[in-house]
Amino acid sequence: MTVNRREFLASLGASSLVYIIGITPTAKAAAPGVNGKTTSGTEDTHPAVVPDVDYMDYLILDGGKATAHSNRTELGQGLKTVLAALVSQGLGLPRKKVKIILGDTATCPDDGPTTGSCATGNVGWAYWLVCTKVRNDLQERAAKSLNLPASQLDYRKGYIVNTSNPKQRISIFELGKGERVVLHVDPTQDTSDIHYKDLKIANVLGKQIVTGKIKYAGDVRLAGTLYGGLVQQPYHRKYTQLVSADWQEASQMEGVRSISIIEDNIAVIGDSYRAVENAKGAVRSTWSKPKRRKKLNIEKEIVSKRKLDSTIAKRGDANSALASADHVVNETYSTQYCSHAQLETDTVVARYKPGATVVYIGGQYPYKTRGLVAKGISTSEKDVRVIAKQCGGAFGGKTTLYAGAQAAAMSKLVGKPVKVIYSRVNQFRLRGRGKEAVVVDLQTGFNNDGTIVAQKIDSHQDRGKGLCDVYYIPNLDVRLYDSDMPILHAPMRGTSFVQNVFALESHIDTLAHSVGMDPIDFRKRNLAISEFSDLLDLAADMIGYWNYVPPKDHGMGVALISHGGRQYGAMILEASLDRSNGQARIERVALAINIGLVVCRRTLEVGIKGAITWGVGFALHEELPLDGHSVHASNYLDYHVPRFVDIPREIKIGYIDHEGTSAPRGCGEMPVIPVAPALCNALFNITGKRLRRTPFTPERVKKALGATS
Amino acid sequence: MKKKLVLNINGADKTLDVDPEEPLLWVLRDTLRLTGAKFGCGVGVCGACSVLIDGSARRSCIVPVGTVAQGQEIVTIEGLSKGNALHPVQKAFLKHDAFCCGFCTPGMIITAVSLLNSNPSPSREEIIEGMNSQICRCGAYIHIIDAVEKAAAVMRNQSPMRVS
Repeated sequence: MTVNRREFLASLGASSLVYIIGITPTAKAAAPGVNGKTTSGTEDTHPAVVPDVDYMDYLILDGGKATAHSNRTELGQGLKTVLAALVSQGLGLPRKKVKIILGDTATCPDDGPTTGSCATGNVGWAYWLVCTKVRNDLQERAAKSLNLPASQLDYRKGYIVNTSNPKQRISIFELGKGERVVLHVDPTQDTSDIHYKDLKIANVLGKQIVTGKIKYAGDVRLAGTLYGGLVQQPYHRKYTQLVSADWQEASQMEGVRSISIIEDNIAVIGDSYRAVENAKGAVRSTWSKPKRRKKLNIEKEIVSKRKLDSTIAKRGDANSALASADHVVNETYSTQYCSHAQLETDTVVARYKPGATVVYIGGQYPYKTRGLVAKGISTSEKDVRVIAKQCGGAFGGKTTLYAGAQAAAMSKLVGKPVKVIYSRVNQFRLRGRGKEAVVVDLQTGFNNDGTIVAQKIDSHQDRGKGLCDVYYIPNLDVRLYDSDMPILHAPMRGTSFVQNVFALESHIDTLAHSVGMDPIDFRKRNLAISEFSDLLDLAADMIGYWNYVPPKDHGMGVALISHGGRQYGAMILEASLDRSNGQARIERVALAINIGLVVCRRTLEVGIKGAITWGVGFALHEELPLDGHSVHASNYLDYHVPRFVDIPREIKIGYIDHEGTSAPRGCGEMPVIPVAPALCNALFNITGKRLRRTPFTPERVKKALGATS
Repeated sequence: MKKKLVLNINGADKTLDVDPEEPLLWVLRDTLRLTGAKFGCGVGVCGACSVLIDGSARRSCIVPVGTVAQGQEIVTIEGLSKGNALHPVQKAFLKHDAFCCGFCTPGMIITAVSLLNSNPSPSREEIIEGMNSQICRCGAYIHIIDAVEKAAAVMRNQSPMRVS
């Protein structure tokens, strides 16, 4: 088994033609990126639109098959299906002749983390562009081989054919054997002349999934594997240290092999998951008490600890324009901490071997895990191979996978493969990170005709996404503040778009109502990007907005979203409210989107509906219980993720500009984002009350209903 | 303490030397190498570990293997299809793209089969209620409801079959 890419490339025989996909230096330099600011509490950043690498992927022609390699991983977003569709159409090959290899550090160059709705947009697009170049390269090779002018040849379904004598042809797999060719693409400039057609293929992993045969990291079986687990500390790791531990009794328990301290954790290794969990419960440990007070008022603390990070947008003179505007509205919105709560807890199988350690993960970034593992076992990165298996949900939380280093260290200790499956308690508490709470202060000046003239926004503990892309506001001042808060946070599906757009799009609705305008008309008056007008019309049409006669305690709400200036959406939803118990629910959703080329509509649409489900969770249910130094959730009873009864009865999706030769721009996060503001706006229409803090739990709704203003 | 137990799994009797306290989930996964049932929460609230016992879905993470009586029939996701022939519920999940990451899917399919065993003609509301014990964190719920509805219709039109 090869451990690194050098060995892998050397192992490819003389029968293979290897295309190494490079990114042109100009593309790298020009890449705008969707990188937001990194705040003090976060561990991961978002990737750029064009990954910051020189060489990204391998496309290998060998033995009648085209194999595409990418270090990105399959997390349920359907990346394998997307790449299979693009490469097979790009090279005109049947799908069975195309193989996709994902997430293996020994066979895939580092093309960045699988985050930020970018995999289809940049890896998929790079493959699509390179297929054109590969065809041209193959045609030139065939011209030499057949001794014919390239203009007389045509590329047809894996063959280069002599157009004047179609019987004379050569298989692409007979060309360039043993050669290694670098082809550069510029995803920001290059275009493709091949017209892509969505053939509505199903997820290529479907049959393995419905039969239970697909392998996740926890399903990897290596001979002699032991289980490893970590004792849960009582406080967040930022605030505590191990003082003493007594595991004499625990180490005598049946099936326990070893108990030791690995980094700051008490690690238990045993014959079975149950033996490890039982022993964990019998370890007695004391941890230093955090100095921090226990009570935590999140909103207050975020603002009181603020430090100015940066001004992300400044235009005109906001103060003067506010002073002369017909109306000025001030509002503050705030949000909660959330947890990824992936169904598959962090899971790793590691087999330590000097010079050839292999680690199987469910995760988003094998190369980052490789770095953590190498550090954890004090070895060189080139001596570690990380292989990503199917991942049972990541959502931004499995980029920094500490379990990789922990499992490798345990394997080194006992000299056997070790499987670490975090308990559900570990998953909520040990990692102790998720979506950050933010506080957004907005002040907007606008005139009687609905034209916004000035806006000032202070956004706290936040990365400033989604605040200034949709509307044109001549006088603008948007500042980000950082706060040193007690729990770490990590990107979580929708990152800070979710929080900011909740604030902004709810605030816009307040402005519309205060001048008696329809929220759609008010938005149209202030758009920076004209696409939104068509998207609003499409969404309104899909849900019957203009003819809507609301039944009792029902209402509609609107919200817009621009995700990094690449994905645009307009959402209109219908909500209902049970005034007796404060229970709000979303009945129907219409989402109109412009996301560029739709590669695989089937995998896309289940993903979009999933993202909307995430929006429902953020808006109505999810809030990580915590105090000043610990997370209190221990399982799904303490942290409500959406279930069957919670979801809208109907979700309609409409597209604008989704076919042809344009670049796909991804859609993993975007539909999460408009749900909370659209619901907030619908609830305003039902009740006349504005809910400015998510989630809209029955308690908060009842409180708002009881409030006089 | 280990004990000899005979379990009927996916139609075959297996003699096992296991601790009767061991949750059925880990016996399936580690001893029998049937890894379709997943560990999700360990306390029976997410449903990822669901298997059929005598035709009803049970949370294998909280079923001590010793409490499964000899003669009771255990069916896991691996035992649902017969050779290459998928169960109608599996087919419907494929047709309706009723999954993203797939981690909850074995438990979802098992629970759907259990639901249809007890109620062959569920309304959409009954499907929602009957499946509500299962978590899909990716949020493929609407597609799952569609798939179960479709599977019910297909199964009603077939000769009576019951997977136990």
